[in-house]
Amino acid sequence: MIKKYNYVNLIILLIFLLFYIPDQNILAQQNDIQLKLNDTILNTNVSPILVNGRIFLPARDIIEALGGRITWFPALKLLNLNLGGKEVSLVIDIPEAQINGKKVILEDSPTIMENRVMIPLEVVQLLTEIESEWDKASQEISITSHRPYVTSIRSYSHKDKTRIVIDLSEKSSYQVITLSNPERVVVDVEASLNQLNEKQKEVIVNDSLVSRVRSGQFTQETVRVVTDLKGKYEFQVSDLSSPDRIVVDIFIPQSQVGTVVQTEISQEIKTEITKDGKRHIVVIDPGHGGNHPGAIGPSGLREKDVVLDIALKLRKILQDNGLTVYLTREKDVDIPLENRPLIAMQREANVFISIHTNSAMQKGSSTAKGIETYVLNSRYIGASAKDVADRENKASQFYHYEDDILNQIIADLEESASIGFSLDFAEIVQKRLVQNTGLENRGVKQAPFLVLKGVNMAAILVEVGFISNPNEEKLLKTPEFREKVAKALNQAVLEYVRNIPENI
Amino acid sequence: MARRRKKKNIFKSTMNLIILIILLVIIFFLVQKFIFPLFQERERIEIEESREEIEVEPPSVLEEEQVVLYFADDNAQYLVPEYRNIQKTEEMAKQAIIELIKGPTSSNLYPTVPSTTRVNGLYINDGIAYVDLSSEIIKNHSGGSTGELLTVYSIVLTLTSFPDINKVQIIVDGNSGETLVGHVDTSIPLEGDDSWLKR
Repeated sequence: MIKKYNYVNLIILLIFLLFYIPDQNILAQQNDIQLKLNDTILNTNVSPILVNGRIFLPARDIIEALGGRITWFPALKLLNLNLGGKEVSLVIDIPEAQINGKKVILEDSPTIMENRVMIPLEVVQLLTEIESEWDKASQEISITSHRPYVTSIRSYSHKDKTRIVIDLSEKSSYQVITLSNPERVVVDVEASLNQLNEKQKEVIVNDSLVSRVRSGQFTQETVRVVTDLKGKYEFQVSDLSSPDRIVVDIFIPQSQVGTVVQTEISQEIKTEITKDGKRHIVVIDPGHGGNHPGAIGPSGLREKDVVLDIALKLRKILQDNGLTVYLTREKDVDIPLENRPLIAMQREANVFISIHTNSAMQKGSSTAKGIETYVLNSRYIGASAKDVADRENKASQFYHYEDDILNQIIADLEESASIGFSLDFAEIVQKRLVQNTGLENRGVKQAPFLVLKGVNMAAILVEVGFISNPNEEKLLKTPEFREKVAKALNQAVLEYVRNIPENI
Repeated sequence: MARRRKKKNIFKSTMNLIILIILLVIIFFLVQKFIFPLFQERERIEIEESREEIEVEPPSVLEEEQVVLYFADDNAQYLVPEYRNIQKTEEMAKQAIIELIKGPTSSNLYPTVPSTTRVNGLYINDGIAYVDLSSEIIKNHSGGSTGELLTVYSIVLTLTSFPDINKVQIIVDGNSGETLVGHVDTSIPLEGDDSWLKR
């Protein structure tokens, strides 16, 4: 009996021994999953992790390796990713992603493991075109990212300049070579050409500087773009982002190229302002509206109703004086804030007036009173990347320039110049309003107001009294006071447009 | 019979010896594989813990630090600094905003942020303070350009008075919206503006 017992014991122990050790090896290997990106091993601070068959990757390592940017806000548990022209916001333990503002449901949530932020593989797949493969035997995740490719080649001809734009699916490095007899500018881009159709392989330009642009897959890694010049000209190559592109500018070697650009700008501004010298366009923006009542007075008077009434009164008086007037809203509706200056741009306005009533948060006493006129604060011109992109879009929308850099320069210059006009106009408005209403003069001020951004005309926001002040609320209720305000604004507009600067 | 038993006994003892050896090998193996690392792990953890203890400063209940808070003057024309001593914490900037929301102690100054607003979080990165506030800052706001400017710039000036903060990005419940109440562009980080201070 004892012998039998011992044998059983031995066998059990042997089985235990045989099975347990390999099992340990598997566990040990699982802690060391390898990550391969485009066939090279990516050394990460923390290894990828497999949870219930789902792969989680160390966020910073993979996003940066793919050429993206990552920002982590620990206090908010918020992760912002920027990759392939897409912006993504993720929150730890929430299976959702905001991709360019759109919500996408995820199967797994981003999570924190070993003090590192890990993102599910699906997030990377949403951001960029990748192929992923999980090799269980070698415990290896291989990710193949699709290479950047040339999406199109465009050309724009100006009097003394030709611009060639090479559009890319994503940022890539490039090399520039010049060749003589005939003169050529060669740009070798590290990308593939598979997205470019046959027709675009040769772009016939045939202007004063460039005859044509040819492109082809030069090596497996590079696309060669050859610009055939008509003579020995100067050129400049630069890369721009959102969308990623390489820009080749060819121009006549002369010192006056700068002044050529300068005159184009001033001409553009001049025509915007003076037009035919008679037809003046005013866009009036009654503040708030619809779901946004604006400030509400102690007796319940609503800003949106007061300012709409003043705007309608002002329109009538201005029209009687022969001016062209548009309102951003004629009814109690909500117009998105950023659309209001766009309307002024579309209407090619000379003057943009946003009418508001003021309020100040002061518990118990609302002694704040008076009139103030606001102009955009010049330090917020081109303050953000979004601004630049917006202006670029706006500029091309309104001026039909195809030229991107020039657009930006023009938009910036015009916005800066418009602050000068706006300050002139604001002084007139402030003076007239204080004279006509007898309210306290709080002065002309500058602030980063969204409604005044990205315009090229005299643009102001006027606060025609404090609705939060019981005395001024009483005034704002009366048609007489509103009429006074409208008349003052009318006088100010007439005074301004009659003295519009002929030149800058 | 006796001989056979003896033979059996020898066999049995040999078997026992083999089993014993195998058992010893297994035990040795298991000890090396599991028990040893466990001890090492514990030691490591203990070392780390003791290190942490050294690093953590003793809680200084009495230590205070002065912060500058900005509140509105009686005509809502300017922002006026009010100095306040508050208990020193790891998150002085966040604490300063909590104090700002509480309002001024001086009777001729006025609050600039709705008192029900909570601070969800504050994070400083690359000179920019990201301050996440609860939506009461919008819901309970009185509106008006002046009111909104006072709210925004009292927060911006209070935070930029810290040496490591140059700009302030206001976030409401996790979103950096366009404006709070329809005027000031808060979609971008804002700098301090001296024109709010009376000269």
